Amino acid sequence: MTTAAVERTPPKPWYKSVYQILSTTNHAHIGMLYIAASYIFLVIGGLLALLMRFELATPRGNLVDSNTYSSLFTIHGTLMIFFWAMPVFAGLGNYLIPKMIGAPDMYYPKLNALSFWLFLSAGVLLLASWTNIGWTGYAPLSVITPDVGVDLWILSLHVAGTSSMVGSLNFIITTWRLRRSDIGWWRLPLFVWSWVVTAFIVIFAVPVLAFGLTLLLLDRNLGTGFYLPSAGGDTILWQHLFWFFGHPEVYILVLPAMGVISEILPRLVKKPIVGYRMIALSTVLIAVLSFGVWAHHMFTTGLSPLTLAPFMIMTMLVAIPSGVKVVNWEATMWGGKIKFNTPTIFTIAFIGTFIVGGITGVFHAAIPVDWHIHDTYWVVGHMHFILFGAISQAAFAATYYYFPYLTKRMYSESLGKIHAITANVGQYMVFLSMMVLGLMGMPRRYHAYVEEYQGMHVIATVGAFLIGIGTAIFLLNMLLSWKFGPKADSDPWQSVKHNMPDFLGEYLNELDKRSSKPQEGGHGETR
Amino acid sequence: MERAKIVENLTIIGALALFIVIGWSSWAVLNDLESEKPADITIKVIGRQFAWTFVYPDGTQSGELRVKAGQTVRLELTSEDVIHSIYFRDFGLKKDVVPGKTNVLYITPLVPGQYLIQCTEFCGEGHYSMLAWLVVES
Repeated sequence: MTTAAVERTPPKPWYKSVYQILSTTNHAHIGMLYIAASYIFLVIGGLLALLMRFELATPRGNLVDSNTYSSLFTIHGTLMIFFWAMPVFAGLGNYLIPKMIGAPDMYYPKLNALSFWLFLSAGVLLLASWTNIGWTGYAPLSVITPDVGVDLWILSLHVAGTSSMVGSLNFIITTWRLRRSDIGWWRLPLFVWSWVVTAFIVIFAVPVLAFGLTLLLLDRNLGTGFYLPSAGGDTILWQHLFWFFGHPEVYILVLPAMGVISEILPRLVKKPIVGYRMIALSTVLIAVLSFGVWAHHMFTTGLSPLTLAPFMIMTMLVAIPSGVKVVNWEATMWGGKIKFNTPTIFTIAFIGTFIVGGITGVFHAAIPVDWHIHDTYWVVGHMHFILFGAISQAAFAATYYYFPYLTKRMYSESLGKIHAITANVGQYMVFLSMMVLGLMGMPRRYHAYVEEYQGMHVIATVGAFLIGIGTAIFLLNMLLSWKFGPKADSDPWQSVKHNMPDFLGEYLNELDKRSSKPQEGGHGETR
Repeated sequence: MERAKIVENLTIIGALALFIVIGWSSWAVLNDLESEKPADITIKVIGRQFAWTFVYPDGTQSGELRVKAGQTVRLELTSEDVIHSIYFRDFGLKKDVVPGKTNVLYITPLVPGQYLIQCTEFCGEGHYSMLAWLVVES
């Protein structure tokens, strides 16, 4: 009887039923769950950041105590990297890849659901750990800290790593086996290209982190001493293992962002992408080079100049394929019809900030310069230009761009523009001040500091609150437009009209259906 | 299309040329910084949570690094617990202080005065308070 009653009422959207949320294996649903969960983690991580900026507005540590401050930057760092920047693009990948290659779903839908739920539980574990060893977890501090939080942090990263391994295998196999036969490798949308390459980086890099974390777990709980010099171990081993994963991780984050920009930029300026093959090949080249740069995080550890030289060269070389992409994006915009709507502003802001963030990274390659700016606020400014200015803004651009597809409604353009302006004014206030502080010699992870640094810190704090306000407006815009926004057009960006359908595979499937229907009808008539 | 290709190739060549210049000069400066130099004085630096100790050749210990202007100072860095990093912000010099290992850093302060020494590798609760002064006497 109850079932009959359910059948009569119009079907509820899937996200309004807890049972459906928990049991769905549909790639679009899992993609949306990933995106929603990432945004929740972004809000949590952002609030932690605002608390830190509030503390740093005065030179004395008077808002939170030193251990709490350490927990704030540890959880903020780990959360934003593993539970915002990675999964938001995993979500976009889940939603977009099958549509772009014309597949009905992912190759392993249940594994796909598994990787989402693993990711979510890892995020909860991380928040529960509330550890205070820094997101890099340098040994031997991470070995001798008695807190059980460190073990939870290790466990959380193990689970998150497993989740991204499973997800990556799924992306590769889906692209390999479920692609339409007429979408060859040189016709594959660039977002799919970058996710396949990223998935390979994940598969090669994450096991190294897992190995390092396992050694750390053994050191902490079974007294092995791999990282303890007093027991015959070597503390530097952790840094090698961590950064062998950690630097490719940067490209795990940025390549999908670059992919999604390469996808939406030509559709926003109504002009095909310039240098498709160069962009695709530069993605592969970045992935290969990314495995040879890890020791540029270790220029001050006392390794010999000869050991460091190859890493200096590789670090400089990895800038070249990134530059190739930038030149191609600029060439795509050249002569295009640029309409300044929200995703376009964020896309252009992405390119601009990526140039700033990328060039400030090359400074580190020059080792004597790195000796000055290593572990200062310069690094913090540089990596936030990449992680917020480039990667997060690409995620925002993509969220605005695909919003009408995800929700069938349109967002508010004016609120979107306010978000774009606050985010960009705010980020330059925060991260440029941080770079100046770094050049002045302000070390990172300081809970209190000498008074001469205060001026720039105050500017940075104001900027951080601007970003916070912008992000709040953005989330309100998304949630309210989802409920009340005007119904979206089926081709919101006129991309089909300009012969660049947003979902190539789905579009071709549709064409096949249309062309096969009249044929069937024709058969019927002749009979 | 053609013009984009030219710009792209010129960017690659320009970047490579720039990197050769930066790389070559970095290599030269790095080797100069790291090479064994005749030192006027050798001072042992011990890092521990959360203070610096400077041990002078005559065995005296101090929480302050006191040297004469113009002297080439050889600092031998060791740590008793976790990784620290000694940072002379005014000279742009930094070296990690790693347990189980002795790193060497040369400094040659020329101008008398007081310079801040900071720890730049996160070492725990009191990381921010791990400061010391370099006093250069004329």
